[in-house]
Amino acid sequence: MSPASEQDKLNEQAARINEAQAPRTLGPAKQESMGMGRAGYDLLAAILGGTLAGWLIDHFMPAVSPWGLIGMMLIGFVVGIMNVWRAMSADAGSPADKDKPQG
Amino acid sequence: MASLLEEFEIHSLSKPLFTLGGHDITFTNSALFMFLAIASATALMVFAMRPRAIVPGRWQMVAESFYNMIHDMLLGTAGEDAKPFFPFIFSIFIFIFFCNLFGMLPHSLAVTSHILINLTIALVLFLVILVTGFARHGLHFLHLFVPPGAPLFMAPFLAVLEVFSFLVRPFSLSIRLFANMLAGHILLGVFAGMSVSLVAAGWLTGSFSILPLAVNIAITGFEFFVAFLQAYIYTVLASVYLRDALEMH
Repeated sequence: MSPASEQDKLNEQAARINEAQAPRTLGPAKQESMGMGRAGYDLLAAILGGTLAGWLIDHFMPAVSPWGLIGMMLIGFVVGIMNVWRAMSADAGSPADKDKPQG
Repeated sequence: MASLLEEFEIHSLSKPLFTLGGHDITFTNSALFMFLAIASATALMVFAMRPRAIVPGRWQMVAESFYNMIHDMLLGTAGEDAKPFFPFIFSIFIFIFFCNLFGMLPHSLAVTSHILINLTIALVLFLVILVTGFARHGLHFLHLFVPPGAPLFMAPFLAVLEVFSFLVRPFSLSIRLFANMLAGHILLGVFAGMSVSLVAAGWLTGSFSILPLAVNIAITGFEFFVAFLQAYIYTVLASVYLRDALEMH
């Protein structure tokens, strides 16, 4: 066997390995579904985080109670909705991306 | 029937080792399974890679594919600059993954079904991200919290929302993992309990107990998938957040 054909054989093998490994990387569909799963927890976490922060504010500064809890919960809700919207528009890769506020 | 939450209970396995802030520190089952996870993950990486063969054997293949998967994901998500953080991110992945897998053993505790563990990892991660961000960009890192293109008079309000959004990320990260592990294990318990109740109710209903059993077998398989997927998502999001600190956009 000549060295040239040996080289061809190696190249061909390398191409076949690359081809076989290609489907292993996450496609757009897979990444999108992961984004969908993310959004729900982002909303939940923002509201819970806001509630916790508000509760702590009220706990250590009883004078402002209950406005710390109410205010932080509302901020949490706003941030949660903002994050969900951001995750959704980033996933869609739609023209809406252009006018969304970049974080 | 025993409570469905019984499997998540933490109990001491030793006498109090020492006292810290008025609490007795003991060796708990949670600590035991964390030690097991770390020991087996270390054993996998050390012993599987021992042959250092060019054509890998089975165990080396396992170790290499974990390594390559996280390596490619990290560099793909956070860029080439993220290379120094690979050991950190990989440790997070392999620890959560092995904790999840040990949780699948009967009579074991899924450590990651306790939000404190997940939150601790997430807080360490955020400490690293904050330190990196400030070390790299100085005070310019704070520009992360001011969306570009927003009107100047809106900036203070938007900054509050952005800072808040940044601060709840550890929660979102840990709640996702905790909720998935807790829900999965409770689901297994519910279907197992249904099978047992049907058998206990008599021979006619007992013959139907095969249905929850079949579902339970399917869910067990699914839980192994979730164990992997949640560990992976945790690390993917960790690298997405790391990207913020490395390259400001």
